[in-house]
Amino acid sequence: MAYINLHRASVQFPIYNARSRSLKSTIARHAVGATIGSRPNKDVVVVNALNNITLTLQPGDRVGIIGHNGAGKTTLLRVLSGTYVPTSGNAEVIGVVSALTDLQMGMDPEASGHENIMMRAILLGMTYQQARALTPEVEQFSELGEYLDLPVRTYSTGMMLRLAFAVTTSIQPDILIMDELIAVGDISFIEKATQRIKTLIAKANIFVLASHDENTLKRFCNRAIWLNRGELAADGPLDTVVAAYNKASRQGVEEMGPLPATTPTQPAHSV
Amino acid sequence: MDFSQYRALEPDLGEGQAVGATLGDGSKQLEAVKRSLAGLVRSAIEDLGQALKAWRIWVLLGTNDIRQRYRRSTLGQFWITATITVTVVGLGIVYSAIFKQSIEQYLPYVAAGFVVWFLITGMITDGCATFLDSEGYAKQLTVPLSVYVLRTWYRALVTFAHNAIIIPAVLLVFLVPVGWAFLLVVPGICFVALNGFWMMLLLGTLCARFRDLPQIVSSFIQVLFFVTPVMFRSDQLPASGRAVMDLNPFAALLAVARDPILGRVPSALEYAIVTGMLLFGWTIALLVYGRYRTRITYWL
Repeated sequence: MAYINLHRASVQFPIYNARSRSLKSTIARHAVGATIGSRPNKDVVVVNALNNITLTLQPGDRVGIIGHNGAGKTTLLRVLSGTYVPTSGNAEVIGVVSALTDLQMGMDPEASGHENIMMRAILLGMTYQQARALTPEVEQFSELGEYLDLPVRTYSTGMMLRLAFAVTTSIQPDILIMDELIAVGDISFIEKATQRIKTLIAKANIFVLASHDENTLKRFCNRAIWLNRGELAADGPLDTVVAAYNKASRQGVEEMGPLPATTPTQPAHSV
Repeated sequence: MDFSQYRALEPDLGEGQAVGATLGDGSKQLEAVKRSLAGLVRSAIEDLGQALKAWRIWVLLGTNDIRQRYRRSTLGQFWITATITVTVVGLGIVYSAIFKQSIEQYLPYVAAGFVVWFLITGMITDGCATFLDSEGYAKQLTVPLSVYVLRTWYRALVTFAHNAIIIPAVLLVFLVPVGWAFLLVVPGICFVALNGFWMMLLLGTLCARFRDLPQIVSSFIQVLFFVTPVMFRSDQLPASGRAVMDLNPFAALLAVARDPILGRVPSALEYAIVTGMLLFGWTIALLVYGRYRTRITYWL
């Protein structure tokens, strides 16, 4: 059973600069009290990355998240995957989540391909036995053959991504979260990878995809969430929301938020 | 493993207003404060419990930290052992002459002292960086954050095991008699390891927020080294100095783990001090971590 429920969830990033991060200034502030020259939050810029988001995702939902750079898409994905706890409001995430955002997390270039498969699998929550059982499948899918005995630093970028992709996508999550659709490798591998992703999406109870590409969204999603400057601008059937978003974009109604909330990650290998 | 559900739950209190509430009149307010403090401790303990269950992850990350550091070197992780051997032998020879002590007595003392001291200070300095070093994982995996504290803690214990290899060697070379008191090494190391853990949990949380703290801590440790009997013996000090030494909790922490190695039973006062440290430290650390654990990711 997979289920996500956000209730009036907001995320405020305190951006501390060196001054306000230092202990000295905090102590000084408390010691001096609210007298002359002490303006408490002078140095802390607070970015409202998400504002009062209320939404429910249920099994069967294929959700596309749209919005300009800095609209809060990545932040929302992190809240949905449970790595960010909203600074106010509630987020309830039930189910095994897999966030395919950084494929290369925890890859050790000095370790061999086999060792990296094990490491990756353990990080994804497998037992040693499950991880070992996974190896032949990954070996076959990644087509790396004897290269798996060599340290990963000897791989080309494409080979490394193939390995990471093969391991990461070998787990079927209840909730699948992606920041742009990933596809790696040369033409023949891309085909295989796309096929794998499709199956993964089809079998997931809930699928969330942040993307700028309308065609991709239309292919995989049935519902869209439009974020504008951290606010939920619209939530509904894909076509309606995308149409509204496009119209608004053309009219230039939208502006950039006061500050980009997060660095938008757009992997070079995205399609 | 699914921890997402767990991480998403806020500690059951509203934004810590209750914690910050003034201890004004009325037992009702006091009750509320007590309840919310208990809530913080409970949420921190739950977090830790979940993290312990994810042992595969922190054992893997910890082991890998060490493996990465020494990969492609001939001695591998035994460089840890080699380094401490050089330190201890060098210092033992020079300082036994300075302090006019026989090397048979002084070298085992320094060896046991440094093995324990490196464990204590290693945990403290690495503890400061525990969340900072795990940023990449913390923003992706949905395991409770104390997994990363356990990672660093585990790494410190593995390093300690490599350092400890020199102890039996030194005891053998200098024919130090080993008696029943040696068994007290086990509780001694447990005291050090558990005290170290709360320091890591507390410092890790604070250092994620205040980036000057790691520097402050590392200079503090340097000072601590000079006022803790690692190289000298506290009985070399005049009576007034010894009284001060009795109040240094780190001297007691060092003593409960080191002295049994050399056949001395630590004093009741020393055990009392480290037990007090344990209770007091864990309470503070759980309160702070319980309060801020959901904020740490935003600070990274």
